[in-house]
Amino acid sequence: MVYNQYVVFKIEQQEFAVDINRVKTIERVTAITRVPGAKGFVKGVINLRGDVIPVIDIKERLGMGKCEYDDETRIIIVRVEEMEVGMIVDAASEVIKIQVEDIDKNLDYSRSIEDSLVEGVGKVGERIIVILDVEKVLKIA
Amino acid sequence: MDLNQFMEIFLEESSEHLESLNNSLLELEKTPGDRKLVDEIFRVSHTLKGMAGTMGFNKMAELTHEMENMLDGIRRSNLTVDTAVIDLLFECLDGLQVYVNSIANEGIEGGLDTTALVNRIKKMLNRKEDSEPTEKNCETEKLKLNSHELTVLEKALEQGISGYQIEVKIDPGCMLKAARAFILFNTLEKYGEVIKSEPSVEDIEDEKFKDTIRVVIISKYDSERIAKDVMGISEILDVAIQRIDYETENRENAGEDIKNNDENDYKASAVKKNITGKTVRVDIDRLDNLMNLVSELIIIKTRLEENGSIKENANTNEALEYLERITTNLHDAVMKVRMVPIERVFNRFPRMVRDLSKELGKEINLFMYGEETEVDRTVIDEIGDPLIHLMRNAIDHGIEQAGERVKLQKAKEGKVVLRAYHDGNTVVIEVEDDGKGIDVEGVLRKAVDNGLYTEQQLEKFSSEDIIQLIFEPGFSTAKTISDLSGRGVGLDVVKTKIESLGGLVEVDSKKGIGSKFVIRLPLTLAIIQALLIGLGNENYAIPLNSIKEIVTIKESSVKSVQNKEVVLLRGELLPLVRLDKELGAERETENQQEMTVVVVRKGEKLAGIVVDRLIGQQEIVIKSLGKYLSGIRCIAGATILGDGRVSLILDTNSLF
Repeated sequence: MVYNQYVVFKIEQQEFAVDINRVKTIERVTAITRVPGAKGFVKGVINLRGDVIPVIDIKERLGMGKCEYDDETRIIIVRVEEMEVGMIVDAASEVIKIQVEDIDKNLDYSRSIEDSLVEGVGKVGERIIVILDVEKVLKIA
Repeated sequence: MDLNQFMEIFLEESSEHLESLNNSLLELEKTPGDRKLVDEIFRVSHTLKGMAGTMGFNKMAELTHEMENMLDGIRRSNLTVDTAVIDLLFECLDGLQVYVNSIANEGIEGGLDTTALVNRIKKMLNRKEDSEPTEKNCETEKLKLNSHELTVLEKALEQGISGYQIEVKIDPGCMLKAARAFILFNTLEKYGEVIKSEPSVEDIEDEKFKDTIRVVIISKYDSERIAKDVMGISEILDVAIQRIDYETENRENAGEDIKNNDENDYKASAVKKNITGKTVRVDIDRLDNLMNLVSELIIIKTRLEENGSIKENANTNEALEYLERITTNLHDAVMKVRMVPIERVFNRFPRMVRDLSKELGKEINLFMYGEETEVDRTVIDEIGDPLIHLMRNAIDHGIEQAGERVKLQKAKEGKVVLRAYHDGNTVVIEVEDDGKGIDVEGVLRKAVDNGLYTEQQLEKFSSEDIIQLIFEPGFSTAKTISDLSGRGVGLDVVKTKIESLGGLVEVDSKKGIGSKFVIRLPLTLAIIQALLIGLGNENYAIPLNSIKEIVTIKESSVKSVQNKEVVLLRGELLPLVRLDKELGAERETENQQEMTVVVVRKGEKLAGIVVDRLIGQQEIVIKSLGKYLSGIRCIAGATILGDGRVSLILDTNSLF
């Protein structure tokens, strides 16, 4: 059986996931310094153990409103090539395995989000998990 | 055998060798008769050939071999050093450089075809050889004797004992070359005294030589007898023996030789020291890592200092002060390690000037000063391209054609000066030419033609202001577009680059006398002194080197000129920048009677930045915002404060 591992997080009630190979760490929210002139969904930069890392609000990036920060809010640090960026999510819940044949790359499922950012939709039992294409999410337009 | 582990060394050393070849060739062009230089060039290219051969880069080895043939021709006076020869040699170097680059990038030599080049070399050699049949190849290269050896030889000759130089070729298939050499020396010592051998006796014992041994001996016997006996040793292929005439080693030469040999000896010992580990080649990533760690240390030190409770205890306070001193020293030490002489950048210019002046038919002398000035490696990496631009401009636009210069009663040869020196915490690099200077009228017309400004606007400009226009995007005054410059992409790129490095570029030009570009750069780009300011609930850092002063101004004294806010500061108009508006931030108290204004400078211009409060001066470590946030205006980078929060560094140059 061929499967991939994904980090699952929630935005409102919808479950999303990113490839675990893209994820460096998951952090609690720390002081975010606003960067003037950056795009709206770029919330600013944080100090991640001595490195300055930009953070984005993934909910806003997907056009689903803004994250409300609470105890559950997390920053998932993802890495694309040499670039590291934090994604603010409502809650990061778990790491799951999804079988490759259970991932549907036919993107008809996604209605409320930008199709181009979705890699596919995975099914685990009754749960439906939207798998994001990290590279496209972080693409500098 | 896995050669990959040697690849890095190979690449590094070949680049070094090519650079030194370039320089030596330039020297040779100036002093064509210099035999020592030819020898030096020959030696270096021979090393290069050997290295390339060992690594299996046959094309490189072949090309160097052809080069060696040419050099050999020069050495044996079959070939006179003229421009054609030098040009051809330079072409060889260029070819080799292409190979090296290709090896660096792809691991293979690439498809460059040098057959044509090789044929031209062959033709040149043949031409010379036809006209002037050479002596037989067996003529041995003369060994250089140092002063002591010369004295011995001199004494011997006085006593009627002859000196011989013997060149012995050992069979390459010989298994125990050192042993053969030992027998050779034993044999020779029957006849006389060996006063010099090349390679040295130590190297021979260690088998650090190829197949040829050259020795100088003094002996009462005649050469034939010695030669016969040496040939008698098995596995000796060839013996060439030559009598040394004292006349040929005449004193004058010897005097020079002594000096030269002393130098060589010195060089040789320097090389030896390298081997025993006086210097270490370190991968730059490791240095960067070390630098990062030191940066972290400085951040945590600042954090400790900010912790008030620690300061109450006299003991810890003392320890903290000590820590402060140590981190400062450590920082300095690491910075020093990262410092490299600016020579690394300057070195490419003699060749560039030569090529350009030939191409443009101008006669140009390049003078370089302060090559030893040390700057941080990050600066070295970035400064090359802007400097090339400025040098090309000076040569292409600045210096006039020789004929024109004579008419203007200037020296026929144009002069370009490249100068570097330290000035406080900055390094200054100047590019100066004695050419025609910047044509203010021309700049003015061009600015209007290109639609940058209207004539009315320019009326108010002083001629200095007008000269500054050459740094504007889309500007070029050259009438013809040459290959080198004049596409209007030059100077604004230079300016942007220098400013992105936290530096400044200024120009000073007098018509008919020449132009001078002055670049000022911070010594390091990693750690700077900055002033922290507060704006609403946000903090920003302003680099200290761009701050002129800090003043308090009454809100009521702000005037409006052409919809811009200005204040009078000691009789001068100072434009104000409302930082909160520029950055979209909130100010904390709107109805303040007095404003705190940080006066920053950009070249000659000043502006006042209105801030809420001053927090203090601090040593900050510059961190990049990264690729994801590239192209953000007004922000030069970020730094981490003592409390762990990130503060952004203002790029004051982009504020006005």
